[in-house]
Amino acid sequence: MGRKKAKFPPVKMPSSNEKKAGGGLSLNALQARFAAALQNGDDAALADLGIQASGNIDAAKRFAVYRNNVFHSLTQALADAHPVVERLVGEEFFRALARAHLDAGGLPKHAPLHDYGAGFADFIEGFAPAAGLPWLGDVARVERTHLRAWHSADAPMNAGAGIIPPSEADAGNDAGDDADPERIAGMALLLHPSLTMEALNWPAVAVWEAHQQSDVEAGLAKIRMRAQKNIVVAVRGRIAGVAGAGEIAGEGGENGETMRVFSLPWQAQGFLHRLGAGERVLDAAHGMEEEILRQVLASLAQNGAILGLRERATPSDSASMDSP
Amino acid sequence: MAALWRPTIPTSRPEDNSPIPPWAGIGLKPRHYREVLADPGGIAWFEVHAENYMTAGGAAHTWLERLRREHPFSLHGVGLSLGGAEDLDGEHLASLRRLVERYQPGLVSEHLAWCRRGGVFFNDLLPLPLNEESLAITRRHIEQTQEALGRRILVENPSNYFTFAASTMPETEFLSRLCAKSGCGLLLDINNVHVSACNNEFDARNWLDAIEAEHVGEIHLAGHAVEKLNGKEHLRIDNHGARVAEPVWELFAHFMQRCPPTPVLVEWDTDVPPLSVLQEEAAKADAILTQARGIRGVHGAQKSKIPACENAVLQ
Repeated sequence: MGRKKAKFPPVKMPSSNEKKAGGGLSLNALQARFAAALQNGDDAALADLGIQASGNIDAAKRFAVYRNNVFHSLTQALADAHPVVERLVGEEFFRALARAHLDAGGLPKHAPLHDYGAGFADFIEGFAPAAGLPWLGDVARVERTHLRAWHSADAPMNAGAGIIPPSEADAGNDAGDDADPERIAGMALLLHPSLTMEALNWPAVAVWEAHQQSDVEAGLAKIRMRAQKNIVVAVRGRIAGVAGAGEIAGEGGENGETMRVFSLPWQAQGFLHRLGAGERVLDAAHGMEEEILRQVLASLAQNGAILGLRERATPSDSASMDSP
Repeated sequence: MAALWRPTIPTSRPEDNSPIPPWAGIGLKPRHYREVLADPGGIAWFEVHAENYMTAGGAAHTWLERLRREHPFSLHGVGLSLGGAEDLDGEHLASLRRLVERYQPGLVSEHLAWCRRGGVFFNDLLPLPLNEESLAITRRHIEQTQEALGRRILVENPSNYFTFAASTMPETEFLSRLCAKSGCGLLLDINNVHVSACNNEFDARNWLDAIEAEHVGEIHLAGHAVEKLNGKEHLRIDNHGARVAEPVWELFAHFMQRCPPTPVLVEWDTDVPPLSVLQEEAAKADAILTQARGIRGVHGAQKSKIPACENAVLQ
């Protein structure tokens, strides 16, 4: 507005002997102090940084922009990963939860934020204000499991040599019987590479499912919320053919992708681990009751978790298993 | 290391070797993928954030694969920490290299900033003092990145909320020397220039006039927020959450009078609006580009009048 302005921000000239705060720090030392001031929220730590503020807006208010950016962007990242938890507790409570999580050292380790908040479920369980919702941590686990499967590796287009597609192994049977334990007991299973699981103590998958429906409250009203050991399993599928086919509502419906999130009896965790290590179904079942084994296999087959079966370990498998 | 790299750096402007057209593109968000692939509505090209695609698989890659087949696109990184005193994160650089190799984007860009320290990622573009030491460190990191990717990158000027006593040179000089020494190009963010100028009380037009246009490989435009503090005081916050501000359009028009054809991007990352709003903003940028190119040679030396920041009187 007619006022004469400096061409550039004021700078300290190299020839100056004046030791300004921050002027003598190496970049490494300055960034160490900057990082500490970001994390501990202590404005006294700003004095070392040599912040130059024009006008009447002081250094603390200017530095606060970075603190706010860090908090808001990471809260948003947590909310994006946990929409059901956020909806259950409300935005205000969620922000307090995210703040506490951050203050407890919950900063990301990597630039890609896909796995940010991996310990959020554990944190929620230790967060006193959320003690009245003992199942909330498990809901976060379901959301995390879903997200991990969502970003996981794609299934191979061709399952590979020696792999029998489930449909052929099942020739002549109804689709629902294609994982009949008698037929496949001596076979190893090729599981979908996106298969992700986590142990739960509450029926949190039902809570998650209710939030995928249009009438969330009606879905929640049907749940008997009492502790019961189970596991959540997530598998990402892909409708073959043209991208965009097979769309379903929600996040999982984009571009022909489908997400299956389901609960299995707790015994399935060890079973799936052993199957993943290449053990045959009968060995992997390891004394599981037959009824539970049938239920688990049927559920895995229905949800697209089984890509194929094979009679015995392939040479490459045994080589990798035998090598020290 | 620079000597090894330098012979392969294109000495010409980057778009000579890239398929990114010198018109307006938009930053592409997942919610707009379907719409854009059905009908780009006159948008010349698209930019995506590299970190969102650093996953083993999933729908993000399915979309990017389609985008790449159908449109020119640029990969814009926000997490490499080029200005960090610590060594670059080798894992992150390897992830970036895999993305570049797989998708072959028309341009690859990063920021003059740091964002990682002591095994912690801050998810924000943090400022650095502008002096010989930070210049040498940033230059080395840019050279390492260009070496790893096997191509030139563009580096974006930041939004500044303050300056450092430890700075010894103007930002324009720092950027110019960085480009000259490392062979990188400048991603000139004109909103960032405006935000920094208002927050630190300098003249944005003077800043732009000190930039060598031949360094500029891409231009960013975006909206910002005005945070009211006590009384009449404001800080401008670079939140990419609004339409491009009028003074930024005017600075853009001013700079384009002397800038050769260069790709321009409209960014919007917070409260992302319907695609039609981004298309309107891109059309506005294209109109300014058309005008600037049409009048060059006739009025090339003419300066447009750039108004002062609305909050120019800070004290």
